[in-house]
Amino acid sequence: MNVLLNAQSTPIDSERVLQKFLDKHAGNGPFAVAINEQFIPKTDYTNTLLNDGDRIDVVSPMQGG
Amino acid sequence: MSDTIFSANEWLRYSRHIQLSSFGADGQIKLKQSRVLMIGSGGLGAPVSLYLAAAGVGHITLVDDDDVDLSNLQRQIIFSVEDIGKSKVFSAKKRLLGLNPEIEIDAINQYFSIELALKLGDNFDLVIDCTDNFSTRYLINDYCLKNRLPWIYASIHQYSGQCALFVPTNKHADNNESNACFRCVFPDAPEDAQDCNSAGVIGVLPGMLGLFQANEALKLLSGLPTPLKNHLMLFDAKHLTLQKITLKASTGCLCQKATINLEQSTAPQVTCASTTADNSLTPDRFNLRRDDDNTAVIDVRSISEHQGFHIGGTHIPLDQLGERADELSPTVTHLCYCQSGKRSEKAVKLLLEKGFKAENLDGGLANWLKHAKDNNQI
Repeated sequence: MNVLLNAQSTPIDSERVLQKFLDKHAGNGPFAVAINEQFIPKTDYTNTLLNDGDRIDVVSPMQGG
Repeated sequence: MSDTIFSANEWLRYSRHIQLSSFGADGQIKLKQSRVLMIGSGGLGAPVSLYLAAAGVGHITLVDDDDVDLSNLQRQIIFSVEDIGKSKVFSAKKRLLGLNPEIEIDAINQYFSIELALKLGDNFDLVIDCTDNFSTRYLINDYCLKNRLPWIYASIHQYSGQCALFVPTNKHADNNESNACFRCVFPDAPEDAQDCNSAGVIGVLPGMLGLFQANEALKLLSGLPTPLKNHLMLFDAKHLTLQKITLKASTGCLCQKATINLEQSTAPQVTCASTTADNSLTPDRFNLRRDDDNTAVIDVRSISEHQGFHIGGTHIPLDQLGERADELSPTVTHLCYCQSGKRSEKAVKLLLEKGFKAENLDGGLANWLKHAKDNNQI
């Protein structure tokens, strides 16, 4: 099973929980997450399951202006 | 003639809006009666304020405590060479009234603080975030939640930008609407985020993001649909991609609370300037220290930055400093510099850990050049 993480094809191991996926692939630092262009609040990471072909965007905040 | 909403000049000035389908005289009247609070008069603020003023937004309040700097002119197109060293909001006001004398501009030459937020009150139709730091954005968020004001967020970094229209949910309405706020999306700010000064930004980017903000602002104020409401737009100017993410409120977020206490508004503490430590040098002190026999200057920037301009010293990029430390003398103090003082601060830390003596040019080459220019040394 694969997902698109910031447009890069990324395999998911047996673990489909979003929190575990982020722990492995997203690194540190604050970010916002969207699955198929729907924002997932941080409080939902542990109860969100990934599906094959999901498009996951990990978005870092930026402060310039 | 005197009983009309617009003067003859205004009617002529706004004729392209008045002719525009689904905008028309009705939309233009709404713009004239609108009050917009713009926080920040820099890269984003320049295009947003120029277009809102040109479009005929009746009342614009500008808030910024910064002065115009030569390095702003690469992207802050509202300013000219003669504005350098002058207040951004006062320079902007002059330029905007030159563009459209039919509107009113309030220029507040202050930082957007909790005190100022309380003093400004809620007499606005829209707030536009054109700031360059996280802490002000969290305060804008809380200010808009408290006063139930819509606000348009944008931020930029190198080649990419983000934009969103946050509309605080009316908790007394029974439409079950639950819009996200900025804290829902980014509950934490990074500790070590770079701003435009240290990370760089392509000059057109604030123009592009600013015009997305201005576009949503004009639609919202004139009563047209605003598809950015409760969405986060991601724009990449390098690959020319645009994405729109649908937001939703986060359980337990501040925006879900019945009352918002602005006096207690806090944000993760992020400072744009590099931290001042015992081993940091002002430009004057750096100039004195570099003449000492027991010091050596190191430029820790990239090769292209060094080739582009430097003020002497050995060139060792920060990412090579660890492996090339054996080239350095253990007896002298190494005076490190970069563009903004952030990379050189890391270089100093690294050298100190390896047992060398090192000091940092605070504020980097940018600060050194500004200081030299102010003192007519260059």
